[in-house]
Amino acid sequence: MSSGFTIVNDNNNVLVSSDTKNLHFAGKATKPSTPLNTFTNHGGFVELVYTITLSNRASIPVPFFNMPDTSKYYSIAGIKGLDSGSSDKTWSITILRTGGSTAAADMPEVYVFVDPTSVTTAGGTGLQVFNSDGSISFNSRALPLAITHTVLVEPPSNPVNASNFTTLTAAQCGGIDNNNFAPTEYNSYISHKYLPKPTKPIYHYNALPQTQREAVFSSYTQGCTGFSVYGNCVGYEESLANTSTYWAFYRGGIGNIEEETYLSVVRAGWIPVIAGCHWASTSDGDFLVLFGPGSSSSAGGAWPYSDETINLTLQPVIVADGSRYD
Amino acid sequence: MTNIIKPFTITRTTIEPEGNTGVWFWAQKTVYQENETVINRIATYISVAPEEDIDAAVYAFLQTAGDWL
Repeated sequence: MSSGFTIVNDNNNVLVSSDTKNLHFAGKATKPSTPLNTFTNHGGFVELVYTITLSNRASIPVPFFNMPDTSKYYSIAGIKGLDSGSSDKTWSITILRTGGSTAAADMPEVYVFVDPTSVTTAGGTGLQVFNSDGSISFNSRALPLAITHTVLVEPPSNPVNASNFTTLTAAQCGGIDNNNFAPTEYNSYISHKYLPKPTKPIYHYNALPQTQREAVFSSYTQGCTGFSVYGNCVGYEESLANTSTYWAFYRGGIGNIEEETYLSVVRAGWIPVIAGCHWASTSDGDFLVLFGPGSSSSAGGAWPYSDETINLTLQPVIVADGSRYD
Repeated sequence: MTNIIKPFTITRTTIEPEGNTGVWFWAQKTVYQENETVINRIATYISVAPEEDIDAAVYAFLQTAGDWL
């Protein structure tokens, strides 16, 4: 004879079960005073590390974020725990966002949900469900996570198109302050349709997809002080070779919400998280070169991660209503 | 694109997950100045929609992305 407790909805989806752990609201994570990293090129980037301390070290937080500026892209890049106090664990939650204001008021709020063992509640009436080991699975005195809807999304494999691309200098990364890699590509998805819209939507989406794009600019200048005989310089010949490889690295993000009367459209796109440049320069000069071979150089191989996209797969965006927990 | 001498070289292509063709290519231009020869080169990657002509897309890129053509 089996025992246990299960609540299902009209579609036979399990809402509460004594075999699983339900997520409950543990609190809002603390905003950082300043971003960990920022830059303004390529559409900009802000990396925010939030913290929250949970009383049970076995509990793993599941964060949701709101979008104060729905024209930006956001994602969760990491969750890392460190033991604190005698039995607590302090978690760092890294949120990525495309550029813009770094003021605390413009940072998203991060709502953290955990199993009920890390949630403290006051007395009163309610319903509690326990697992077979006696640990609590559901507690109506706490605030259970109520998912309003979900959608599967995937960004396009290439974050940029050619529309904003400009020629950059080959000399010593002199064009490092460029905006060639500002993400322009995205995929749109209907987030929800004909459903009651959340008063304050909060989202869970992980920055699993990664991509890198680069552009190499080279120049080779050869000059002859003297005169040329059958293409060879008689006099002083000098040459200068420059190569600069400009690049940007991205993580996946969601945002740019378009609200219409009966539906919301969410975009899956890219957040540039770091950008840079590598350069090489070679100069050479010879006197009285008539038929000589001069000097030479060679190169080979490839960058370890060059114009590639990885972890590109449909991923769920989980949406809840933050106003339930404010 | 018709069979002409192309001012670029396609080094590799791939089919992206959504069906576009990813194209690696380079292009080069040479400028002769007084006692000096300058060769400039660009190498990068673009995505080309399945129905588009790849050569034409690269050509269009080089026209818009600086003074390459």
